[in-house]
Amino acid sequence: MTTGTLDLAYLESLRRFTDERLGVEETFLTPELGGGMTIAVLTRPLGDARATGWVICHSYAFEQGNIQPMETLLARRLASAGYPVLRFHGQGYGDSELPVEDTGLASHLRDARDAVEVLRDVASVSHVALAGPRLGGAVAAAVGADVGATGLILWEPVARGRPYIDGLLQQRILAELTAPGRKPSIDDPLAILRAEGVADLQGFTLTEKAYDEIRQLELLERARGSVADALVVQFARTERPRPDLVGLIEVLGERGGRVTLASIPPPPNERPLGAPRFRGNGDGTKTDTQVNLERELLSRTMAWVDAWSTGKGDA
Amino acid sequence: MSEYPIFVPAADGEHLAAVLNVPESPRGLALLLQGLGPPRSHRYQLWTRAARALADRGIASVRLDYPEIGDSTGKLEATLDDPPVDAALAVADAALRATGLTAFAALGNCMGGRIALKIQGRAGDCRGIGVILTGDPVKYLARKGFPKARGGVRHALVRKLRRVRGKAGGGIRWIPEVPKTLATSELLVLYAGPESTGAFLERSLSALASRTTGARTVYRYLPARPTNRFELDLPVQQRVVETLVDWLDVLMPARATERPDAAKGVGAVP
Repeated sequence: MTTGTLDLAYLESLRRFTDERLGVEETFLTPELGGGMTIAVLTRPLGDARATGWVICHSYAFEQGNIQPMETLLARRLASAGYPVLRFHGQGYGDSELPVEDTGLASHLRDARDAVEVLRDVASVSHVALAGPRLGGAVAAAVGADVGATGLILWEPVARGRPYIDGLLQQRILAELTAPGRKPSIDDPLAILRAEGVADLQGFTLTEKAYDEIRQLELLERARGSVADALVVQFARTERPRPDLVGLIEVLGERGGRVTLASIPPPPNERPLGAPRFRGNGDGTKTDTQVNLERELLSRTMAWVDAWSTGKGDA
Repeated sequence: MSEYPIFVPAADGEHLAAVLNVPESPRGLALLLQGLGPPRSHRYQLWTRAARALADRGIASVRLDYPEIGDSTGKLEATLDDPPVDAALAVADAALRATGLTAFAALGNCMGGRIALKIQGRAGDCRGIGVILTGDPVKYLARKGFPKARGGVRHALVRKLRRVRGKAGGGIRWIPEVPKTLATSELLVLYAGPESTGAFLERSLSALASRTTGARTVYRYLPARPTNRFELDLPVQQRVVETLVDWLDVLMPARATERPDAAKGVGAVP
């Protein structure tokens, strides 16, 4: 048996790649965020980079993994348009060092602030913009207000934490009731959470601390002071903002930021943003249930970015 | 323990994102393969946790994003019968080259289990293949369709009767990779699900092993709700990690010069 000798030069050569077709270079970073090591990816344009860099803030619990492929595509499209982009695993997710028990709204905000500093260090940008889906959108808006971000991309941002986190708990009950072969459980997950301090959110550890932090989130207060131009995306059949987004749009525009609302009708027969992407067909194949959702989301987002880049600030 | 995130070149100019975990003096490498959908860390960091627990026992590991998933580039049009084997092999080869190791094992669940079975004998000195099964194990390990009619109606009826009694070739028409693996490497089958299904699977494996010269199988059973996805249950997640680490610890001994026999044979997790 060989005990092995590590070829560090070979490993170093695999830390980055260049894709001429996409016009981007990607590099793995191992920064310290929130007091623990984690893995991040810096995507850079092959040509001249713009002075603004983007940080992508992922969403919460199982939504993080479900949405990640779209965040990767967004990073590469933004880099193709000239922007350096940093995406990362917050503590408790992916390849991060600290355990999931430490994860909550506070850790998401802390890690995103640290990621902004990492981007400033490694990409030498003079302006920072933030993007995020769902709870990641709320984090992007809140941190963006703190750090003076110049741009925001918010995909279905969570404006109020209570309905969001209670909705995730309800999804657990629905999953229990609809899973094949499972006996329906009428256990109240909130009661379990209060009694035991931890609830099993379809395999994700939801702590009471995280639940309370997210439940108390009122994004209007957190985002006040934002000066960024913002794209707010909602999945709706109407061009009017959802009731919970009306106040957010007003707050984001208070200091002169130009806010664009993009309404995308939910594609028929597709799962919503944040839901598991692939559906088993029972014959060894799986169907991607978010093909049109992803295409529309990226198309509308990049249309706004193109307009914003040329100074119009409105798609 | 050190972690190295890497982009492994693949066919058509694509790149596969992977993370290599290496302890101080590694004795072997494990390739961790999730099903279709989750990124390289698996759901809720399952592979990340397994990788660090393995490193604590002196075993290196590598986990990857399949094409189009996570941080990898490319397109993925995979099915259970046609999984991204080449992607897994490219990452395994890169990890073996980087570490200089030869002792190798692959383990996975769902589509990842199929990949593990298919790369048996194609990377390093393959000591074992681990397959994590949930729900209906036959779906993952059995050939599709029905056996060709042979011997007319009488034989068909006998076959059907034997199948009902669980005696028809061990009860499962195995995909070819299962007996092939048994003949050359140790096979771990870890099943999380209903007890009766687990008992059927155990009987079927025993029957197959008894017909295969030198077969080394390890069957482990984890009581679990009859869900299709083991990663949706926190206690089961933890037991899966512990079972995999214990199995690999025995499979890749620190000082042994010969391959070990199957750890404890067919049986339930104590």
